[in-house]
Amino acid sequence: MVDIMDTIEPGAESAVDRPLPPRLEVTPGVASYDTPAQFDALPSKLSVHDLDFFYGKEQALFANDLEIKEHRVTAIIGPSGCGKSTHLRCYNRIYELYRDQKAMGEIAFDGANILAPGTDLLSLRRRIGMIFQKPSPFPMTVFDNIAYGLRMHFKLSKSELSERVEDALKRGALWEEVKNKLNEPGLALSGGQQQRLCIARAIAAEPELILMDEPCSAIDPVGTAKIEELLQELKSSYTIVLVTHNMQQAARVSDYTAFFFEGRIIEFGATTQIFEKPVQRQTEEYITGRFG
Amino acid sequence: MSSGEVDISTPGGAGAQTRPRRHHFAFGDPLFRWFTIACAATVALAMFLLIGVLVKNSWLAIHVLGIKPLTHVAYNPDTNQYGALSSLFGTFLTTILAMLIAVPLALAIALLLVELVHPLVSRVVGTTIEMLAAVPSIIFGMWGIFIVVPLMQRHIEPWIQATPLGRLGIFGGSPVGVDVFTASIVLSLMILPFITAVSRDVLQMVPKVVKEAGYGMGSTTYEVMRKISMRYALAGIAGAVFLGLGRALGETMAVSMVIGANFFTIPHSLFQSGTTVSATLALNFPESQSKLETSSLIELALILFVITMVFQVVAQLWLARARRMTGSRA
Ligand SMILES: Nc1ncnc2c1ncn2[C@@H]1O[C@H](COP(=O)(O)OP(=O)(O)OP(=O)(O)O)[C@@H](O)[C@H]1O
Ligand SMILES: [Mg+2]
Repeated sequence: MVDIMDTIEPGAESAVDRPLPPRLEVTPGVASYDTPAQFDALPSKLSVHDLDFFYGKEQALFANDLEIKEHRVTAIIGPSGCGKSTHLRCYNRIYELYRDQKAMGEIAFDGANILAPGTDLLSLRRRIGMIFQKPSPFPMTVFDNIAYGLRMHFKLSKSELSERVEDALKRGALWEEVKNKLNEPGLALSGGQQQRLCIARAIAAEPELILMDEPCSAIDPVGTAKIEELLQELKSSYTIVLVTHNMQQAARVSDYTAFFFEGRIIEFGATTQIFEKPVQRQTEEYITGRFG
Repeated sequence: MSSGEVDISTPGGAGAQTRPRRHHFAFGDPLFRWFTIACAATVALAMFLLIGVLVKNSWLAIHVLGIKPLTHVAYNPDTNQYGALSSLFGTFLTTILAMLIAVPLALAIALLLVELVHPLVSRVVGTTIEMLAAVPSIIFGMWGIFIVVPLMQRHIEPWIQATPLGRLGIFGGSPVGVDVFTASIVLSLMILPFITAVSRDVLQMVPKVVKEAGYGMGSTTYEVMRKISMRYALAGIAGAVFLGLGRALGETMAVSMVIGANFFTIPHSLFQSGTTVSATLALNFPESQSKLETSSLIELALILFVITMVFQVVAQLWLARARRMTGSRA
C-alpha cells in the first residue's frame, strides 16, 4: 500500500521549506475523510452526467460522470492528453469560443443544466471563476486587474471599489507584496505573483466555484507553496476544482480526486482512498508512476 | 509497493536549469554585434545628413525671408510671396481628416476579422486588404480623378449640402469635386489597408489565454475586444497608426491629383480646392525660376520635416508611457 507521506519526494518539500499542511483540518467542522454516506449527504455544487465532448469529429470525453461537492477541493489527475482541461472547460462553457468544439450531456450547476440552450453565459461565468495554466494578467495595472470583474458586475463607489480590491488581494495572499505597486502593470509582477493576481481577480468577482487548470505548473516551488497554502484557505468559502499533474499536490490539497484516462473517468473517490487503496489497476499504475 | 517508484516532478516542475550555451558563437557574436551597430549608425547618420542638406539648401531662403513663410498664406514667386501656411494647412487638414476616417474604420475591420467573422471570410478579406496596401499611389490618384471626383461633385457633395449639415460653412460653396474633402477621402482609403493589415496582425497575436481569461470573467465579446485585446495590442496598433500618419503627411501623387493643387489659400470650406506641402513641392520644384524660389521650397520641406519629427518624438514618448502602463510588450 502506498502511504501518502511516502509519495512525497524529499527534494520537493525541502525546496518549499514548509511542513506538509494537515489535510482538511483547516476547514473547521468538516471531517477529514468523508465516509461514503457523508459523501452522499454533501450537497453537490456541480454534477456532471454523461458528458461527451468533441473537437470537430474527434471525441475527447466519453460519458463523464462526476460530482463536485460544495466546499471541497476536487482534484482531477491523469496522464497528459487524457481530457482534464477539456473536461474543466465545459464547466464555464469557455470551449464555445471555438467553432468546432461541442459538449453533449448534462452539467447541473446548483441544479440547473448549464449545457442547456438559453443559459446566461455571462452570469454563469461570473459565478464560476477560472485560473489557467499560464498566468494571464490583463494588460492593465494591478488595481485594474482586480477591479475588472468588480466594475463589470457590480455598481460600486470609488471607495467601495478600492476596499474590495484590497480585500481580494488579501484573500489572494498578495496584498503585502503589491500594496505599493497597485498602479504598476500586472505583467510586471513575477510569475507566481501574476498567478495569485489572477486568483485574486477571480475571487474579487465572488464566484461560487473556482476552476484551476494546472495553476502551478508554470511557477517555481516557493510560489507553488504559496498558492497551495492559499487553496487551503479558500476552500472554506469556495468550491474548487483543481487539475494537476503533480500527485503530491493533489494529495496535499484535495479532498476528492478523479482519475482520468483517455477521456474517461476511471476512478473517483476520496483523495485518501484514491492514493492509498485505488480500486482500478490503471489508477494504481498511474499514481505509483508506472505510466503517465 | 515502494515509495521510490513515484516519479513526479517537484511542485512547479522546476528541474535543473540548463546552462546557457554562450560559448558556441564566441566569434560570431561580436561580429554580428558590430554589424548591427554599424547598420544602426548608418540610419542615424543618414538622418543627420538629410537635415544638414535641407538646412544648407534652404539657408538662402531662411536668410532672406526669415520667418515670413510661417506667417504668410499666399505663395507666388512672381510677386515675391513665399507663404507656407496654405500648404501646411492643407497637409495637416487632409491628414487629420484622413486619419479620423481611416483609424476607426481600420480598427473596426481588424477587430471584425480577428474576433467575429468566419475564419475563411477573415482570410479572404485579409488577403485582399494586404493586396490593397501594396497598390501604388498613382493608381489611387487615377481612381480618385476618374471615379471619386465626379462622384463627389455630382452626388455626394450636393447631397451633403442638402442635409442640415449643408448650412455649416465648412460644407459651403459650389461643389467642384477636386477639393480638400475628396483629397481626404482618397487619402484615408490609401492608408486604410495598411493600418488595417498591421492592426489585424497585432490583434491576432493577443494570447488566447488572456482572451479566454477575459471571457472567463463574464465579459462580452465587445468588452474583451475593447478592454483586453485592444490594450494588449495598443503599442502595435499605435505603431501602425503612426506609420499611416507618416504616409498621409507625405503622400504626394494621389493628393496632388484630386486636391486641385496650386490653390494657395486657406480654404473656408472642405469643398474648396487647396494644396499640400508635397503637392506644392512636386508641382513647383521642377519649374523653379530662381535660386530663392528653390530655396524657399526646400525650406517648406524642412518645416514639414521638423514638425513631423517633433510629432513623432511626442508620440513615441506617449507610447512608451502607455506601454509601461499596460505592461504590454506587443
Ligand atoms: N483544440 C483542440 N483541437 C483538437 N483536439 C484537441 C484540442 N485540444 C485538445 N485536444 C485533444 O483532446 C484530448 C484531451 O486534451 P486535453 O487538453 O483536455 O488534455 P489534458 O488532460 O488537459 O492534457 P495536459 O495534461 O497535457 O494538459 C487530447 O487528445 C488532445 O489532443
Ligand atoms: Mg490540460
